[in-house]
Amino acid sequence: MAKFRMHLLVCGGSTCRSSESDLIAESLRREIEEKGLQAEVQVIMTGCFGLCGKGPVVRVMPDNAFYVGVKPEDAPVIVAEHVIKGRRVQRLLYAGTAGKEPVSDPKHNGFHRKQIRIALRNCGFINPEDIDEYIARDGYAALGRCLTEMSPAQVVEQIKLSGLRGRGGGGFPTGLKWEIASRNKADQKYVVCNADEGDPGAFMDRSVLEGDPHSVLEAMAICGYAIGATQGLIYIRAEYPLAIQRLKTAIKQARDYGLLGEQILGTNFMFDIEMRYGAGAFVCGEETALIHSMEGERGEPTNKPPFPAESGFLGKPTNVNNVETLASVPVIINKGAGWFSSIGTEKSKGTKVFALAGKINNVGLIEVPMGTTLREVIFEIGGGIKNGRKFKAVQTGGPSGGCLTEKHLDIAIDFDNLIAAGSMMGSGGMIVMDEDDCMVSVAKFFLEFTVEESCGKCSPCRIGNKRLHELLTHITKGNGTMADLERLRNMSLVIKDTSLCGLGQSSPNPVLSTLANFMDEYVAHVSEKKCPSGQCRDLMRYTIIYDKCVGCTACARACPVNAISGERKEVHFIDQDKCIKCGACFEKCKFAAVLIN
Amino acid sequence: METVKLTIDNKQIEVNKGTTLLKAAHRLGVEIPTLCHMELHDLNIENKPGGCRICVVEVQGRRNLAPACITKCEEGMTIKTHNARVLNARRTVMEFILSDHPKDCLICPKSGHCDLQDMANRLGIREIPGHEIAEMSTYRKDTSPSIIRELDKCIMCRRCEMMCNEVQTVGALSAVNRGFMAVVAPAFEQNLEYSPCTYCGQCVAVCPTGALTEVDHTRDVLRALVDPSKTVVVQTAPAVRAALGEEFGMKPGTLVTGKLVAALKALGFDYVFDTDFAADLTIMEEGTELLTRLGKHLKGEPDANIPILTSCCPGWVNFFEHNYPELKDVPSTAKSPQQMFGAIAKTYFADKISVKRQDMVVVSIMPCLAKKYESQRPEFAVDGNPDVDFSISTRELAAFIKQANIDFNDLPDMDFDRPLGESSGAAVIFGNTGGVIEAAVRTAFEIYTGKKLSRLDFTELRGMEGVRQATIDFNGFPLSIGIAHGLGNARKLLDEVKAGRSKFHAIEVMACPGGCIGGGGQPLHHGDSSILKARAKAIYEEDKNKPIRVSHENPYILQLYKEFLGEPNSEKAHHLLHTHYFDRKAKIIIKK
Amino acid sequence: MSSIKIELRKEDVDKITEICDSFSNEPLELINVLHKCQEHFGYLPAEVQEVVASELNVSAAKVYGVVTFYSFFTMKPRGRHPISICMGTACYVRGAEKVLDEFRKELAIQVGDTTPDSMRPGTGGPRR
Repeated sequence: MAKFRMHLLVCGGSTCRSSESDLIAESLRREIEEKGLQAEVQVIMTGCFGLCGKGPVVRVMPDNAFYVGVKPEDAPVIVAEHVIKGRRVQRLLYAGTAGKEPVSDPKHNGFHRKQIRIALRNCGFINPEDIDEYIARDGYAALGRCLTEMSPAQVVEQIKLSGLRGRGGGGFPTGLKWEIASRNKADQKYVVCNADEGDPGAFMDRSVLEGDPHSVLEAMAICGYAIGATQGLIYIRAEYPLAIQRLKTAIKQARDYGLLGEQILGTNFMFDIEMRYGAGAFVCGEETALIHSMEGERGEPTNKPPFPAESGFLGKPTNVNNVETLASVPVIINKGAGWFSSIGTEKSKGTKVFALAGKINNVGLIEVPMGTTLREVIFEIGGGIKNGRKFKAVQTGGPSGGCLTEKHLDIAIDFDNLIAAGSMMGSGGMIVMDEDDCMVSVAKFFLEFTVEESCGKCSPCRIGNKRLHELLTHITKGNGTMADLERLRNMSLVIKDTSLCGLGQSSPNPVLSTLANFMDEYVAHVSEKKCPSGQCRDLMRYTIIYDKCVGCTACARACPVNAISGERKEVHFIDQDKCIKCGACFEKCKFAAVLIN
Repeated sequence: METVKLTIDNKQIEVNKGTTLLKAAHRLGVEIPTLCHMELHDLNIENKPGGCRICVVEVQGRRNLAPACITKCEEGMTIKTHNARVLNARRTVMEFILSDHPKDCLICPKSGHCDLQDMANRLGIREIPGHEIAEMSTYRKDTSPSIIRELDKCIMCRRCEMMCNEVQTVGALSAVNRGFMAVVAPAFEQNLEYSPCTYCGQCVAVCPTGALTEVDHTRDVLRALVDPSKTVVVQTAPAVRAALGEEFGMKPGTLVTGKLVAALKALGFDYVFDTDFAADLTIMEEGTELLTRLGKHLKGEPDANIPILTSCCPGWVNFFEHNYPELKDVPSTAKSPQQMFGAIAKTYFADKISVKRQDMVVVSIMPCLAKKYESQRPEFAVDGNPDVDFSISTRELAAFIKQANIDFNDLPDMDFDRPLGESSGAAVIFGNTGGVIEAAVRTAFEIYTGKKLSRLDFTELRGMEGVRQATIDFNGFPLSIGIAHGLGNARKLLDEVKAGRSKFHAIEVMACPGGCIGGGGQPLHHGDSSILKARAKAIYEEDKNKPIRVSHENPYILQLYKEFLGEPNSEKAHHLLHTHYFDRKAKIIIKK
Repeated sequence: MSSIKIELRKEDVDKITEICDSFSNEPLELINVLHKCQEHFGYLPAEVQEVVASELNVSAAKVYGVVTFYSFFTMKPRGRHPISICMGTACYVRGAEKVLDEFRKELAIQVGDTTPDSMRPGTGGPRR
């Protein structure tokens, strides 16, 4: 490879691309060429840097300058100032949390300081469409080591020793899963990469696949060697076109290099990978459902056991791991199980990627060691709550996770602690809510999602979740009773206890956790018929403040249902029975005389 | 066999590895309620989607409750099947199911035979909390010639889907939609009429609720009975007499032939005849056809069309018309006994009693739902007047008898009327799988060889195995016979015929598992396959007790040929007793 | 129980057969076949599903069962400008529902519908 004195890394993840990061790269390239610097400076489209909320992001290496909110027209100034004169463009530098001095090196900012990137190690550093760059960062070295220095049993042992647990949601020990699959004898076995990331708002797997596809391919080949499989399958959402395209490119390159196919690295090991596409069903993240979907069936889960390791794709032993889990595997082989298990907590080793979203300053993708506290994630890495509002809750674990509160902020994040707190790790969605969010509505929103995504096979999930959603709607309309809250709890517990798969077994979590942590809000909705956050439209009351009304009649004229009466220059009055809570009077009043409560 | 020890409700038990908790508990006398689960043991049919979650039990050490129907026993397990947690869960799940189920039990055709109703009662459900705000999943009602689908009552047990796809390989039904609107339906949620449905009725036979029921013709029959201008003639199929008693609390396998006749007379039918008469007629026609084709086959003639396939079963006829139209010349052209009866009743018999065709109403009592459709086929009518006016199922007849306040158990035994009520034992066994071919063999053998059979029971043709084969020695000629019951099994034999690899000379097919005794119109077996076995046994009993046991010795059959038809396969016989088949495969038409 | 008749133009039938052939008429590939068909036709009308069923030798009911299971597949033709509104959690807490409401009001159609001029359909729903 040619040597360059400087690299301009432009984020080519889906989020930044949607803000024209490809045009930025193009402009930078044009500028570099115009200045005749193409032999010294290289522009590379990389995978996701993580700071998606501040994108598009450009990183200058080796200076490690981190420019955010870059526009294509900023290219000349970056080249003229930074590339040629060596002066950082202060205006574009990432400023950490709002109002602070721009941070020139991301190592020193809050967003990056507490992060350790294992699964995301190459995202944002390499060109994901160039296998050489992956190889330059020790890519495929782990596969080589496995094939030439280790027996399959030793590979399994390393993964077991590392303490790696499945990052897709369940947290099942990966090494044990491999061991079971390796023990089952069959003429054919399969390695499946679960890339059907379905949590709303979560995109860690997409980022890995877009930014570092080879790490997943390498891990699948290692897994194939360990369990005795020659065929790999990637089940990926059809909604991820960029990830699909990069995977296809990566598979082709790996085949060309003899890293997939027959006689890999000159050994007798053969392994190849095919792609299968999901078609929009959240439940297909569940491994038995995923396998049925790959077989051209409705993605309905089936009872376990038998586990896929025993009878999976086409009835053959099948090992299913998610993207993030697989992405950690080559590093474990390269750096050793001991190194990996030195990171994290007693029962949860390594790091976890989270998609930070909601009312938080730094929306984006982060990777932290297990054991990091929620407070560190939200207030240091996440930069705290947007617009200086007050933190209210954080939802972890995607739509079926739980809402945790202030009192949980110092919990060290790991699989078991989150479950003990009434939530779960899930695949790593983390949604922050502030004081303006109504927790009953939030629970209702999540239930709406699970109702939509339930496959319909088992009755508690098919009907029970619908009933939960109806009752929550009933409550947000102000029609609930205290007895309904008890019913809500009982229904939730039974749905969890009796549902067939992980979807139904966790879908009531948002209800149970909000009931546990925000009972007062529920009580306000049912007994006072009030929504403390003012989010539930049906519980709003528009009234006119006696002292402020001047009798201009503007509100009465604006009201579409003639609910407002009053003489000119007299105080007006809103008939609550007629009011449809459209808010027209509130908007029209120039004297702030309309009160919402 | 490896065994495991476990504890269920404080009782220890040792079972074979692989046994489910449900079966282990059953062995201890602990009955865990189930709803979607269904097993027909002897037929190798099992439905276990694990979907209803009624059978959940507590397994010590597991986070969630486990469905007993699919959870396998493991060494050292401790199970609680009825503790407070389990009971609460079971009731709550049941409340969920009922909250999405219509509450019209008063007028539901399944009332009194409904598994869901029974379960609600068993679990002591007395209210459905929150039903006033509960949205229901509602669907269009579909009425076909045989089957009514009222999917609002579907509880997604998937039994029908399993029967239609795995057992029958018909593929008319599939689970469709997702989540709350998920339901079992034909493609595009179209009517059954526009699907490859064969109306075998096996979906109806296993449906635990009123979602799938038969089209009820008892009202039409009643109207005919009160009309003084109509002469109402009734025929009853062989399998009915072996099952009807169950509806009146009798032991499965109780033969009620005499009481059946008495009940029909009490209901006011003018003539009570036996479809068995027509079954004997079928043997005459089909047996002759077999011998003719066999003769051609032995001479090496290309149009021999061997193997001959039986054609008594309308579900089966529908099946090959949809799936194997290229073989539509292979089955026997003989009409089914129901249709032969209608054709003879409205010609020969109507003449005999000087009743005009339009003034005669022929009703059939059938174990079958496809018979309803068959009776409505346009080719089985003369100037729009059908040979068989109404076909009602065993279940409908039972309901009719109850409505008429007839004490069935107390009825005297009565005899069928003459001439269309006399039959041989060979005709009776039409009700069992293997019975039609056994009856045909009895007659064909004696005609072919000119010898009397010393042994009439061809036990090699009997049994419950899905596909059976036997070779009968026809005086040195080995007649090779194949038998299939259940359309999935039929498909296996059909594929061989299609590929030209079939080694059989004759194949009998019945659409329903077990034959007509397991028909879609029979009293519900609720998953108990010992009922089917008892019915089969009763049928063979009836055969044994008959004075005449071969069709060609039925004197009224001989009289019919002498007075009316001439010879078997004569031109008149062809006109009245034979039919032809249609290609009903889905067709792609190129749009201009 | 009349037989089913499917009317399609010859080039459409040929296209479907070609797609099915490219997957060796393998029933396991049903979802991939449907993806390709939807890519070509824009949606999956009953006629297309019938031909797919007959090519792959599976029942039309099964094909329909699969099509109606996955939200990516649609049996309604799409307008010229599909509008997708992300209802993911992150967007929701930032007011995605209000955005959707505004679209509903502005276009006077519901989620999944197409405007009468078949220009602007909404394809709302979760996480697109």
